[in-house]
Amino acid sequence: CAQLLICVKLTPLLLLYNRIKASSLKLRFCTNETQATREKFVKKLQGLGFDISVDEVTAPAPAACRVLKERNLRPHLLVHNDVVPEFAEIDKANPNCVVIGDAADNFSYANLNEAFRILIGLENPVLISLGRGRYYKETDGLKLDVGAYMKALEYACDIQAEVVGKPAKMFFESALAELGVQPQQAIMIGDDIVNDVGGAQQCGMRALQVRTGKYRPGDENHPRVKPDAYVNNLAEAVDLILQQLHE
Amino acid sequence: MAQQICLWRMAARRALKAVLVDLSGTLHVEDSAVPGAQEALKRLRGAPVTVRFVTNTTKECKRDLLERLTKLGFDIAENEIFTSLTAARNLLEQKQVRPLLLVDDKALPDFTGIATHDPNAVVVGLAPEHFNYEMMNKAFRLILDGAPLIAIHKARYFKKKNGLALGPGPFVTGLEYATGTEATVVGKPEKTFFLEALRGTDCAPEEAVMIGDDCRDDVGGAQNAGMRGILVRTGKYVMDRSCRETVVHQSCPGYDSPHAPDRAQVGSEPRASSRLLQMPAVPAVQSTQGLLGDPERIVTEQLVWGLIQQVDFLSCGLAACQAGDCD
Repeated sequence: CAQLLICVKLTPLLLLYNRIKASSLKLRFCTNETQATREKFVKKLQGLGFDISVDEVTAPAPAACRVLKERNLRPHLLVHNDVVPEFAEIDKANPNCVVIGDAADNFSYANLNEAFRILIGLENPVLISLGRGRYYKETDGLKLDVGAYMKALEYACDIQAEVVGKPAKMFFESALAELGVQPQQAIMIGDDIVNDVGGAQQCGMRALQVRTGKYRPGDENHPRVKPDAYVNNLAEAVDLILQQLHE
Repeated sequence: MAQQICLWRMAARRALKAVLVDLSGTLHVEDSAVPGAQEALKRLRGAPVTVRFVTNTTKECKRDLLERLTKLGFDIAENEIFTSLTAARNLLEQKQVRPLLLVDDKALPDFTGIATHDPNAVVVGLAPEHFNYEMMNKAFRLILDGAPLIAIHKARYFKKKNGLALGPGPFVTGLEYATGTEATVVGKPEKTFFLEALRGTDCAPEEAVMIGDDCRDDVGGAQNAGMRGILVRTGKYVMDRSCRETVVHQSCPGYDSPHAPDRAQVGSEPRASSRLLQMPAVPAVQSTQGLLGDPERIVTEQLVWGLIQQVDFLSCGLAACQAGDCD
């Protein structure tokens, strides 16, 4: 039976959400959200009426923590204040790497310079990026995402960042592993043609592009990424999926 | 000696009509003139060549540069100065666009007369005070909507008293990535910089020579534009003779600190002076009768040769010499 992966930065639609939950589909929420801890983030969704728990969420910060621990890395964090608690158990003294996230107003020249100085001073500079999105949509318009600043530091230090988060293959694979399903049995729904749709397809999953969130009409002419379908919103995506399930 | 003769022979094939002179590191080092440079310039003025003073800068308008150079004893006119800011302005006028100027306030006088209301272009210089999230988003949205992105240059970082600091390059790169576009870079070592500098001189690149202290940005850039390039052993000159092996110090050449972090690092002023003094004097110019022929050319070449105390020819002439082309 098919499993389901949903990208969460979407408009809430409670009825259809309950339909998914009531079906035989397994759900996982794959987000590059790094402006809040999973707890806070999940609470927000619960407040909107979603029955969702922290262990259903695959997010970059916890994934990054695993990487840091494995490799004995002590990070200098250039992230949003609200996601800092995710790194509470990580040793940050005497940093030997930089972790960059979707820091928004923390992307000041001074903070970027500090991160740059740490990297340029390391014999073996490691830059871990919690995603590589170009921009995202907020109520007051489109804003630069972590990818732009990751590129800035890559250029300044002449290094390559390691991406933890969409569209890194490892990120999708870990979500699938947590569900215990094969890529062919999964569908990704998202609004980011490169990071959600493209990333998922590269893992062997199918992917649907929703025309909400940061979607722009130009995405339908993307030179590389061809979603398995375009849908107007999550409701249509779910209709499509449940239809196919019942066929 | 063989090298010098080889160059003269090579130079004789093409008459020299324009001389571009780099400022920081070549004419002056911070607030001191390079020893002998004022005198050299006077002699150059006596030759039938057009002189232009060129520099990458993102925060000194022509007026301020002129004031600085005049104080150091150089005889220069404002219209002889060509900077990367001038290049940016020219491009804005050509494209007939209204820029969002992310440049230092001190650079604004060079954009007087250019409309900036309701911007439909973005110009990025070295302006840390503008590289905050809000302003970057403003620029990003304009570019995403089709506004051209113009970069004064893309230096990665520069050296300050208290350490290294990010240049405009990383921010331009970030904007390029986020918008899926490519910036037009107008400063050295871009070809257009050198071609624009020659505009109005009625000289072709083949008739011009660039004199500077930066192997890649001055000599490399000029040669790429079809000009000849002379590298001086003052300022930022790196001891490594091979242009290709030079540490790519992609820092801002000159305008913020003339001393990029490099192997031949010259830190404080006293060391700089002593380094200059240690340079052996250029051998007296030998008689060139019979070698060049045209007296006008001889005069010009001698003056160019004598302009800077220490000269190292890295142009193709030298390579040809080594390959055995000179006899």
